[in-house]
Amino acid sequence: MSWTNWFRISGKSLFGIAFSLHRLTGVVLAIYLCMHLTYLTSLKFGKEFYESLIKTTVSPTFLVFDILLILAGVYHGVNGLRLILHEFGLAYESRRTLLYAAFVLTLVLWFVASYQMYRFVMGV
Amino acid sequence: MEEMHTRRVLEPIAWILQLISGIFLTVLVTFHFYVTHFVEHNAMEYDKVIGRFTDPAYQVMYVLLLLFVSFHAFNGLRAIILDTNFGAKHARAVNTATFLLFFAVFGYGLVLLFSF
Repeated sequence: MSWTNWFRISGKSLFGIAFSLHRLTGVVLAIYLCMHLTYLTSLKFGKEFYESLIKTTVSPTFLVFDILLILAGVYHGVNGLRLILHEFGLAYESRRTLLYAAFVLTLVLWFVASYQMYRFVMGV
Repeated sequence: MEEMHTRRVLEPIAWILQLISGIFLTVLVTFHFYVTHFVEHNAMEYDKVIGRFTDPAYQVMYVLLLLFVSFHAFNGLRAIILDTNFGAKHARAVNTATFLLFFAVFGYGLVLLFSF
Protein backbone atom coordinates (compact mmCIF):
# COMPACT_ATOMS: atom_id res chain seq x y z
CA MET A 1 0.00 0.00 0.00
CA SER A 2 1.21 3.49 -0.73
CA TRP A 3 1.33 5.77 2.33
CA THR A 4 -0.51 8.43 0.31
CA ASN A 5 -3.64 6.27 0.78
CA TRP A 6 -3.85 7.67 4.31
CA PHE A 7 -4.79 11.07 2.92
CA ARG A 8 -7.44 9.74 0.56
CA ILE A 9 -10.94 10.24 1.93
CA SER A 10 -13.20 9.44 -1.04
CA GLY A 11 -14.38 5.85 -1.11
CA LYS A 12 -13.24 5.23 2.45
CA SER A 13 -15.56 4.08 5.22
CA LEU A 14 -15.58 5.82 8.60
CA PHE A 15 -13.52 2.86 9.85
CA GLY A 16 -10.97 3.50 7.12
CA ILE A 17 -10.72 7.15 8.11
CA ALA A 18 -10.32 6.15 11.78
CA PHE A 19 -7.53 3.77 10.72
CA SER A 20 -5.71 6.50 8.76
CA LEU A 21 -6.06 8.96 11.63
CA HIS A 22 -4.70 6.34 14.04
CA ARG A 23 -1.55 5.99 11.96
CA LEU A 24 -1.12 9.72 11.39
CA THR A 25 -1.48 10.51 15.10
CA GLY A 26 0.89 7.62 15.88
CA VAL A 27 3.59 9.13 13.69
CA VAL A 28 3.04 12.58 15.26
CA LEU A 29 3.33 11.08 18.77
CA ALA A 30 6.49 9.10 17.88
CA ILE A 31 8.12 12.31 16.64
CA TYR A 32 6.97 14.11 19.79
CA LEU A 33 8.52 11.36 21.95
CA CYS A 34 11.93 12.14 20.43
CA MET A 35 11.36 15.89 20.84
CA HIS A 36 10.30 15.39 24.46
CA LEU A 37 13.48 13.48 25.35
CA THR A 38 15.59 16.08 23.54
CA TYR A 39 13.84 18.80 25.52
CA LEU A 40 14.46 16.98 28.81
CA THR A 41 18.17 16.89 27.95
CA SER A 42 18.19 20.60 28.86
CA LEU A 43 17.95 19.49 32.51
CA LYS A 44 21.61 18.45 32.18
CA PHE A 45 22.57 22.06 31.38
CA GLY A 46 21.38 23.34 34.75
CA LYS A 47 18.40 24.97 36.37
CA GLU A 48 18.74 28.36 34.68
CA PHE A 49 18.89 26.95 31.14
CA TYR A 50 16.02 24.50 31.72
CA GLU A 51 13.76 27.13 33.26
CA SER A 52 14.44 29.61 30.46
CA LEU A 53 13.24 26.94 27.99
CA ILE A 54 10.17 26.28 30.15
CA LYS A 55 9.40 30.00 30.19
CA THR A 56 9.46 30.02 26.38
CA THR A 57 7.56 26.81 25.69
CA VAL A 58 5.00 26.87 28.50
CA SER A 59 3.47 30.05 27.10
CA PRO A 60 0.34 31.22 25.23
CA THR A 61 2.31 31.14 21.95
CA PHE A 62 2.89 27.40 22.26
CA LEU A 63 -0.60 26.65 23.63
CA VAL A 64 -2.02 25.91 20.18
CA PHE A 65 0.66 23.23 19.59
CA ASP A 66 -0.01 21.74 23.04
CA ILE A 67 -3.72 21.55 22.30
CA LEU A 68 -3.16 19.90 18.91
CA LEU A 69 -0.76 17.44 20.52
CA ILE A 70 -3.37 16.62 23.16
CA LEU A 71 -5.89 15.94 20.38
CA ALA A 72 -3.45 13.53 18.72
CA GLY A 73 -2.72 11.78 22.04
CA VAL A 74 -6.35 11.53 23.17
CA TYR A 75 -7.55 10.28 19.77
CA HIS A 76 -4.77 7.69 19.53
CA GLY A 77 -5.47 6.47 23.09
CA VAL A 78 -9.27 6.29 22.83
CA ASN A 79 -9.29 4.78 19.33
CA GLY A 80 -6.53 2.37 20.37
CA LEU A 81 -8.60 1.11 23.31
CA ARG A 82 -11.56 0.63 20.94
CA LEU A 83 -9.36 -1.47 18.62
CA ILE A 84 -7.99 -3.50 21.54
CA LEU A 85 -11.54 -4.31 22.71
CA HIS A 86 -12.38 -5.72 19.27
CA GLU A 87 -9.04 -7.55 18.98
CA PHE A 88 -9.89 -9.41 22.18
CA GLY A 89 -13.23 -10.35 20.63
CA LEU A 90 -15.30 -7.92 22.69
CA ALA A 91 -18.24 -5.78 21.50
CA TYR A 92 -17.57 -6.52 17.84
CA GLU A 93 -21.32 -6.47 17.11
CA SER A 94 -21.43 -2.89 18.43
CA ARG A 95 -18.44 -1.66 16.43
CA ARG A 96 -20.26 1.19 14.69
CA THR A 97 -21.73 2.49 17.95
CA LEU A 98 -18.33 2.22 19.62
CA LEU A 99 -16.70 4.12 16.77
CA TYR A 100 -19.13 7.02 17.25
CA ALA A 101 -18.63 6.78 21.02
CA ALA A 102 -14.85 6.93 20.53
CA PHE A 103 -15.16 10.12 18.47
CA VAL A 104 -17.42 11.72 21.10
CA LEU A 105 -15.20 10.61 24.00
CA THR A 106 -12.15 12.00 22.17
CA LEU A 107 -13.83 15.40 21.85
CA VAL A 108 -14.90 15.44 25.51
CA LEU A 109 -11.48 14.40 26.86
CA TRP A 110 -9.75 16.79 24.44
CA PHE A 111 -11.87 19.66 25.76
CA VAL A 112 -11.21 18.78 29.43
CA ALA A 113 -7.46 18.31 28.94
CA SER A 114 -7.12 21.43 26.77
CA TYR A 115 -8.99 23.55 29.31
CA GLN A 116 -6.64 22.25 32.01
CA MET A 117 -3.65 22.98 29.78
CA TYR A 118 -4.99 26.51 29.22
CA ARG A 119 -5.30 27.04 32.98
CA PHE A 120 -1.82 25.60 33.52
CA VAL A 121 -0.18 27.83 30.91
CA MET A 122 -2.06 30.98 31.92
CA GLY A 123 -1.50 30.27 35.62
CA VAL A 124 -5.18 30.50 36.55
CA MET B 1 -9.85 -3.65 -1.62
CA GLU B 2 -6.96 -5.00 0.44
CA GLU B 3 -7.53 -5.38 4.17
CA MET B 4 -6.43 -2.33 6.18
CA HIS B 5 -5.13 -3.81 9.39
CA THR B 6 -1.82 -3.51 11.21
CA ARG B 7 -2.11 -7.14 12.39
CA ARG B 8 -1.52 -8.15 8.76
CA VAL B 9 2.11 -6.93 8.71
CA LEU B 10 3.31 -7.77 12.24
CA GLU B 11 4.36 -11.09 13.75
CA PRO B 12 1.64 -12.37 16.19
CA ILE B 13 3.86 -11.73 19.25
CA ALA B 14 4.69 -8.19 18.08
CA TRP B 15 0.99 -7.47 17.55
CA ILE B 16 -0.01 -8.79 21.01
CA LEU B 17 2.79 -6.76 22.64
CA GLN B 18 1.60 -3.69 20.73
CA LEU B 19 -1.88 -4.14 22.24
CA ILE B 20 -0.58 -4.81 25.76
CA SER B 21 1.84 -1.86 25.70
CA GLY B 22 -1.04 0.30 24.42
CA ILE B 23 -3.19 -0.61 27.42
CA PHE B 24 -0.37 0.21 29.86
CA LEU B 25 0.38 3.46 28.02
CA THR B 26 -3.14 4.84 28.34
CA VAL B 27 -2.77 4.51 32.11
CA LEU B 28 0.85 5.70 32.37
CA VAL B 29 0.56 8.64 29.94
CA THR B 30 -2.65 9.82 31.63
CA PHE B 31 -0.92 9.63 35.01
CA HIS B 32 2.15 11.48 33.64
CA PHE B 33 -0.07 14.24 32.20
CA TYR B 34 -2.05 14.42 35.47
CA VAL B 35 1.11 14.82 37.58
CA THR B 36 2.67 17.45 35.31
CA HIS B 37 -0.45 19.53 34.54
CA PHE B 38 -3.27 18.87 37.01
CA VAL B 39 -1.70 18.64 40.47
CA GLU B 40 0.23 21.88 40.90
CA HIS B 41 1.25 24.89 38.83
CA ASN B 42 4.96 24.48 39.53
CA ALA B 43 5.13 20.78 38.57
CA MET B 44 7.54 21.50 35.71
CA GLU B 45 10.00 23.61 37.73
CA TYR B 46 13.53 22.25 37.76
CA ASP B 47 13.53 21.17 41.43
CA LYS B 48 10.18 19.42 41.06
CA VAL B 49 11.30 17.50 37.96
CA ILE B 50 14.58 16.45 39.60
CA GLY B 51 12.58 15.50 42.71
CA ARG B 52 10.49 13.07 40.64
CA PHE B 53 13.53 11.76 38.75
CA THR B 54 15.21 10.82 42.05
CA ASP B 55 12.13 9.38 43.77
CA PRO B 56 12.26 5.53 43.59
CA ALA B 57 8.50 5.18 43.01
CA TYR B 58 8.59 7.66 40.13
CA GLN B 59 11.74 6.00 38.78
CA VAL B 60 9.88 2.69 38.49
CA MET B 61 6.97 4.48 36.79
CA TYR B 62 9.26 6.30 34.36
CA VAL B 63 11.22 3.14 33.47
CA LEU B 64 7.94 1.37 32.62
CA LEU B 65 6.70 4.42 30.70
CA LEU B 66 9.95 4.63 28.72
CA LEU B 67 9.93 0.91 27.95
CA PHE B 68 6.30 0.79 26.82
CA VAL B 69 6.32 4.08 24.93
CA SER B 70 9.55 3.43 23.02
CA PHE B 71 8.47 -0.13 22.15
CA HIS B 72 4.96 0.96 21.11
CA ALA B 73 6.25 3.92 19.07
CA PHE B 74 8.89 2.07 17.06
CA ASN B 75 6.99 -1.20 16.72
CA GLY B 76 4.09 0.89 15.41
CA LEU B 77 6.36 2.81 13.07
CA ARG B 78 7.82 -0.51 11.87
CA ALA B 79 4.32 -1.78 11.04
CA ILE B 80 3.46 1.41 9.17
CA ILE B 81 6.63 1.25 7.06
CA LEU B 82 6.29 -2.51 6.44
CA ASP B 83 2.77 -1.79 5.17
CA THR B 84 4.15 0.35 2.33
CA ASN B 85 5.58 -0.90 -0.96
CA PHE B 86 9.03 0.36 0.12
CA GLY B 87 8.82 -1.40 3.50
CA ALA B 88 7.69 -4.70 2.00
CA LYS B 89 10.73 -4.65 -0.27
CA HIS B 90 13.21 -3.78 2.50
CA ALA B 91 11.73 -5.57 5.50
CA ARG B 92 15.03 -6.62 7.05
CA ALA B 93 16.44 -3.07 6.95
CA VAL B 94 13.20 -1.64 8.38
CA ASN B 95 13.21 -4.19 11.23
CA THR B 96 16.84 -3.44 12.07
CA ALA B 97 16.47 0.36 11.90
CA THR B 98 13.34 0.48 14.06
CA PHE B 99 14.85 -1.92 16.61
CA LEU B 100 17.95 0.30 16.84
CA LEU B 101 15.73 3.37 17.26
CA PHE B 102 13.78 1.63 20.04
CA PHE B 103 17.02 0.65 21.74
CA ALA B 104 18.51 4.17 21.37
CA VAL B 105 15.44 6.03 22.67
CA PHE B 106 14.82 3.63 25.57
CA GLY B 107 18.53 3.61 26.48
CA TYR B 108 18.89 7.37 26.23
CA GLY B 109 15.80 7.89 28.38
CA LEU B 110 17.23 5.58 31.04
CA VAL B 111 20.60 7.36 31.01
CA LEU B 112 18.85 10.71 31.39
CA LEU B 113 16.56 9.46 34.17
CA PHE B 114 19.38 8.02 36.29
CA SER B 115 21.90 10.81 35.79
CA PHE B 116 20.70 13.08 38.62
